[in-house]
Amino acid sequence: MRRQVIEKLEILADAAKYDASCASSGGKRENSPTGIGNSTGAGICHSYTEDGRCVSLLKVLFSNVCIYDCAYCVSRRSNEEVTRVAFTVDEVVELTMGFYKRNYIEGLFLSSGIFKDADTTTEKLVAVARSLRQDHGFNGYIHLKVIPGASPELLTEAGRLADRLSVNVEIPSEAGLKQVAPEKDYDQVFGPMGHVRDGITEAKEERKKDRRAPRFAAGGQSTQLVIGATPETDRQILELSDGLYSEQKLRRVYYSGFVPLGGDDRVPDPETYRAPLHREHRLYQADWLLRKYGFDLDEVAPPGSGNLDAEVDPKTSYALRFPYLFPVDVNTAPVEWLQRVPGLGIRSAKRIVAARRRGVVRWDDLRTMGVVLKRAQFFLTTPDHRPQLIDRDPNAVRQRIVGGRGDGAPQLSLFAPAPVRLAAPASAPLPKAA
Amino acid sequence: MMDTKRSPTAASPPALPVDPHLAVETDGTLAGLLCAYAETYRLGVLPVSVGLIGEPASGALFGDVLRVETQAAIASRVERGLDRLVPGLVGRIHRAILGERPGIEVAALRLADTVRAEGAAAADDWTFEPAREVAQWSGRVGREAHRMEAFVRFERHVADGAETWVATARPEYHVLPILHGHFAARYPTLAWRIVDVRRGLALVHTPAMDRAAGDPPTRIVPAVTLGLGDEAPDEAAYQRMWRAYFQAVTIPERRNLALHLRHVPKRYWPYLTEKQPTVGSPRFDAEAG
Repeated sequence: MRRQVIEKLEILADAAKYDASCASSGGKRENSPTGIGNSTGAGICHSYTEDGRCVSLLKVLFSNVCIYDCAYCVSRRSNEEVTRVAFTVDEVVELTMGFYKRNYIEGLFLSSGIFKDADTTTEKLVAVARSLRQDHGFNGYIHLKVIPGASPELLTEAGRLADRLSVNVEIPSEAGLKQVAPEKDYDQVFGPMGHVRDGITEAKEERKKDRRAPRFAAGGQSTQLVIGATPETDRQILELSDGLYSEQKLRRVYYSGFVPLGGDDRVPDPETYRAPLHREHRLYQADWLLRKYGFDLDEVAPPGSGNLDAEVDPKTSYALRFPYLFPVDVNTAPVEWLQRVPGLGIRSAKRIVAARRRGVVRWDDLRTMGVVLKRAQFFLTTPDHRPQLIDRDPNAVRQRIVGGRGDGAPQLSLFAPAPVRLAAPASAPLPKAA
Repeated sequence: MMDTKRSPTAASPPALPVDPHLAVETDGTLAGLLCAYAETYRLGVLPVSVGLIGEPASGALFGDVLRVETQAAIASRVERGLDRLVPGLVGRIHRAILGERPGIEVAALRLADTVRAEGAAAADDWTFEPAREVAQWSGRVGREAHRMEAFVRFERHVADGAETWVATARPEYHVLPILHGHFAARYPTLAWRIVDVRRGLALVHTPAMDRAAGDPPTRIVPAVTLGLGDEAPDEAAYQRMWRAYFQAVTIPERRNLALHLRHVPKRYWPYLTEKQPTVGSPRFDAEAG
């Protein structure tokens, strides 16, 4: 029996690995004195694959039998190169418990090929979660994949059992989706997504009134977009993400650079696109600016801008597009402005604010604090550091950053200090208040 | 902006000077250090070194060695006072001293005293050396503890019909004292232990049903006092399945070993199930690898 399980595990983990989501955070499930597991913290990466991705959850398909034929998916119906297998409910439960007790994982991420209809498939996923929670007292993290087209009743039960639900949009435009996944459309995706969103909102409201009201996917909802299988630009992709965050209240959008699987003509040769991996990296950076740094979509990717700048990160790209907003004064700028300085993160900005409460922050103080100045040096001032290059020649700044010569000693000015800026120009996109 | 860095707030007495002749000795615990602060505050100076009772002092030029008795009541009074000023500061100091870095206790005392004298802002001011040192060491130790929460691998052992879940690790810092909460909350019904082979200590957890009322769920004991049961019959199978899983989730087209190593430095490999060869010797040898 073991031998069989290990073979299924190899096949069904291999098929699930293209799903980028690995988060085990955001859950609010405390353990009971007799139960096993919890998911209250920030999430733990228990290992990392050789391609550097986090291994946090046992991420498997329940079955790789699929009635759909999506060109970007290894389990598509027409792919004759894969062996079709399916777990039983007990096998997945036993694996999850055995791995969890050994501290290999934070929990389970269960998805599946659609082996019959949406509800039959979803019922199996729910059965696994139900057994873990009810028969085994399991309070670790459970992420269930929502099968497009699943009925609201099943989704409701899934939401009660799971910490996170996700339904993958996969292709960043409906036209693109139609091309590569003829059986799918956006209604099938956004219907369940909306239902989950409402379930989450409702449960939160209920819990405000009654603290014992049941939770519903407390870790939120996420989705994934495949990058480079279809011709959407980064701006189009981020437009979609921005809408998913604001309208569908998603916790995360994952970007998965398309890995050519071979053998399907509907997917263009990825070689003709910019490397999807590199795009994936820039998209994550841009996504971060939208979610955590208070940037607007148009600031990160202006309308009609196509793809993100490949040479510099999105924040540097923003600063070079609005050179008149820089440099900012380390000793007086609001923390939201400090966070907009290329190279400064949220942590560095906080450190600066903490230090200047007790005195004037000078250039060497920044180094002492561990602030990375390679890029930031062009965009901020201290009493003893007054860069002017960004005023005179933003392109030269770009050259210095791209050429890697941004490193080293601060650029000392030979000329008078920059004039004091009273206010940013009226057209300037001001940072939102925290 | 005015330079206010060294001007104390009006209400509290100014920060205490360090007496280059005063060395103190404690039992090495956080409570001991908090008592040392109470004691030296009473004297109106801070010590130049904090050593372990019974070990030769270093740092003090000559003479005065003050031996501090740890008293729970005093320690908790100091703890409450500091945590009222800066929530989380005592935890930060605790993690920092577990880094076993010479001199870190003195930095912690200076930080605590400066916070007392000049207010909470000092605690997060990285231009203030003691604050930076404590924060950095707290960060290092916290990171190592988090890695242990991630990388510890339990093996199921059976002795006299009872099962024990055994993990061995070699943490860089003395993190056992800050690991118990995480694992006790996660595995309250399992008898588990985590052995720190670098320090010869083990964190041992006893489930509620097996311990007397009032006994703590976990304690730290010398590792040599622990017997080992036999590996459970299904243990090898689970380890094989975990390795098979680990192999299967790698995307070969994206292999990036530099990134992999940054996340999982080689020093952890000897204790990671997924890094052991599937057949052959039971432990992977990092030096040979």
